[in-house]
Amino acid sequence: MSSVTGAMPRQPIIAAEAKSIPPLSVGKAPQTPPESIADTSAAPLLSIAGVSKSFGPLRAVDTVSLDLRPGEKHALLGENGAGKSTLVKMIYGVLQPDSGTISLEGRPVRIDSPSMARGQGIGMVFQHFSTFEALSVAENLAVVLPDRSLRDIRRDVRRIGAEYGLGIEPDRRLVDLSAGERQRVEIIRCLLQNPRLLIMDEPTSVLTPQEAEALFMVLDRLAEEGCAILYISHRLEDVRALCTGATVMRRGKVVATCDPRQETAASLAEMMIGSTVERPRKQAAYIGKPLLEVNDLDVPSVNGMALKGITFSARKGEILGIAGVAGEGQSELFAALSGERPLRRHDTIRVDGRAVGKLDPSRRRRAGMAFGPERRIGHSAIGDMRLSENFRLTHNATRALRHGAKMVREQFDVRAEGRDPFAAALSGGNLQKFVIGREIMREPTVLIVEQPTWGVDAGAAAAIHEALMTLSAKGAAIVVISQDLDEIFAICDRVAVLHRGTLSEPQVTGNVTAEELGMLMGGAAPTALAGVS
Amino acid sequence: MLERRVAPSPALAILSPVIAVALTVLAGFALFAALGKDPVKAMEIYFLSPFADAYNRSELLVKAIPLALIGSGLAVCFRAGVFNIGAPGQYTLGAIFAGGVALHVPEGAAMIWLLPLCLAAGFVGGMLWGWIPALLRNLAGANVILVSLMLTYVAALLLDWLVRGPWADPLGRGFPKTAAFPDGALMPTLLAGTRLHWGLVLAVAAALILSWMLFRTRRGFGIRAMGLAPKAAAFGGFSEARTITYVLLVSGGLAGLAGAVEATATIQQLQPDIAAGYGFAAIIVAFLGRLNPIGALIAALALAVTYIGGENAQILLKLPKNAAFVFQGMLLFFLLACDTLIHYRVRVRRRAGAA
Repeated sequence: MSSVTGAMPRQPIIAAEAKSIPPLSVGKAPQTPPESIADTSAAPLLSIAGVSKSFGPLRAVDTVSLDLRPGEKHALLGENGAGKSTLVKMIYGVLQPDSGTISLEGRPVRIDSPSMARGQGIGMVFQHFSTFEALSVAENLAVVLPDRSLRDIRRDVRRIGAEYGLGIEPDRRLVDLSAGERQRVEIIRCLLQNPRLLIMDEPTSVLTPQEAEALFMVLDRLAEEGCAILYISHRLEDVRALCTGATVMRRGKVVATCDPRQETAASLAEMMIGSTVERPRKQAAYIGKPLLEVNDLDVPSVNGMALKGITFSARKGEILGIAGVAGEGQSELFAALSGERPLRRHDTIRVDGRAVGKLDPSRRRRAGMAFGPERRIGHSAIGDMRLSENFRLTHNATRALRHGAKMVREQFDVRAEGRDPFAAALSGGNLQKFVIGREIMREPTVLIVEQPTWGVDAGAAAAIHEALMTLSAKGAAIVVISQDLDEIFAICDRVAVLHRGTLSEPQVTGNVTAEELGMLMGGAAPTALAGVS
Repeated sequence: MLERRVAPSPALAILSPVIAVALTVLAGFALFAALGKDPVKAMEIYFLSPFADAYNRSELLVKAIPLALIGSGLAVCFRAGVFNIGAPGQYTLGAIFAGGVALHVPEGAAMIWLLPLCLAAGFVGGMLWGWIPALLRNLAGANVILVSLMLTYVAALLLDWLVRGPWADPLGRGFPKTAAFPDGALMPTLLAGTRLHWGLVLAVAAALILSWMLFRTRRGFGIRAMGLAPKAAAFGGFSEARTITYVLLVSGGLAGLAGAVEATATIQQLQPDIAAGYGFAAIIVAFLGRLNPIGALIAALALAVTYIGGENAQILLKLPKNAAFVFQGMLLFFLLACDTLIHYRVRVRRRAGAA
């Protein structure tokens, strides 16, 4: 590989002195990360001071400060919605801070756009890659590097691949690559632009454990060469294995900074989620026989998370919460339960004792189920259709349809203009009230909802929670798949955690702490719980 | 720049075809002026001569019948987001099936039933040809657009082979055509002295039935839901595979029926060039009719005007034959462009990044 490097007319990546560093030794234990070469006395490469950003009444980032030195591997930890992504978007020039300063090497800078960020040596690898499926690796890179020839890019991809163990054939088409390989392309894209700071947004969420291990080796190597790494994750074990510093965010604020190597997964989870004293909890309800039984549900992966051996039941009068951070198999679980993806084995899912595994959504509805998916426009509702027709989507009867939609609007306080408006004209909260109300009108014995209050205003969220609790009190079994722990504590009787396609044992919500859930969500083994409580 | 409207504009839904026709006339002026013809006279021949007398008016309807039959079926198909552009092939198969029945049912059999049998056979033939892309799409993920289009050429070659080989007229002196159909297989005329035939009743009935199906039945609802939001339709319990099969069978069957009607009414035998471009022109009809089967009926009339007007212009103005096709192409182009206005509004862009 050195002969290839020697033939290079340009040195796009590595400073001359960094070239003398020997290749990374393989086989290090994750518990003892290599000693950081970050020099704590050096001036910070990136310095964020008192940065705030609001969206309407919501303060997404609230006077956050953060320093990052060359060669430092720094984690940004927090729950969904803690403000991590907003902060990072400001560093990468996607958003502009309302107040506060961002400085690079001591000089305040204004980063107006991602291309300006790249010009300053800031690279970012996104959680979801925006790529052209039909083009090759080299062609995809050429799109973002217009000043380089395809031939140069091909050669650089091979050279970087050999140097960093990011082996990828530049002529393969993106459509043929795995998620891990696509991420390599993204990292190579950043490396081609000489980064001093590399931002990784939830990088391991799409990777297999082996791919994640390989990624950590690449990041270690980059840090040794002096590149600072800002690593966003909610996977506690990843952070403990990789990072030398961590900033923990909650509700837009920095709540702690620490050295994750000195912390346990439990203490990190506690910082992330915070105390639970103010969380209202659901009163214990009458709970009867199981109405929904899921027994050893396996779904192979199709561009997503595979589900493995999921077993649970939801009982009469009960609301069962399924917690977990994004992308751990929630949408796959919803599709398996709704019948949008029918199963091979009929008795994997039983509704009130009756097997429904092979049935499609209509037949499952007839068996007493109802469903409310996460996405409203395009999944639970059709934006270009009127409410009366949207009502029809899950109600078979053809008569009195306008009447049915009208009843939902009255009973569930759906506010919209006009006698029969298009679904797209409703606000998120009102449309969600309509969707949930429409499903409750079916008087289901089993209701499955995913993220029922996602992106919904507080008033609508409260109304939806009340409607769900009323339905359960009438004797339905409800499953709430949610990433919002507050929601789960507020309305659920029992809770289980979905992580990497497996479901933990459901526990009574009153007997479990947010820290324990946070550890399960971060992938800590259930046995580790014993040491916490 | 374009900005999405909160709700589709009902006024523009009606106005958009009018604007499109106006723009077509405007572009037509430029076209004819460039060809050195008098644009005003050309427009007069194009748009007024087809209504000038009873003969022209009946010919207008004769042209509109196959366009309406195919177009209303395609409207249903396109509503589902299934782009069947193989209507010419389905039409051809319909004609072949009808012709096969007409030519091979022995003399003396119940002749009253011969014509209905021919039409039914034509419908089945078109359905069969529409079923192939549905089957390949559902079993192997094949592209409906490509498969349906390719089958058009297969159908045309099949017809060519039949009329030159096994079904060739023994008295035809080598001309590629079959014998004339027996009288029992011929469509009666509706008005004495014109070529206007009972296919008109079939076309109107088809449009009414399809319109009822699309807007009043649960199946029609599923078709529209799938076209607007496939994931929501699947969530509602409408099987994608079954909907695709259904709309291809319906649109294929109607194209086949159109082929059978043309073969039994106006051509009265099989010959290689029976298709006359109806199958592709019906795509324009479907869109011009706002993907509404009854709209397709009206649109078929509008397109027939450009056909008859184009023929008259060829004769009277000595226009090149392709000018009529250029004119039709412009109409489709402007129509699709104007449709954007229903869902989007035009806004002059201010400098971005003011925030």
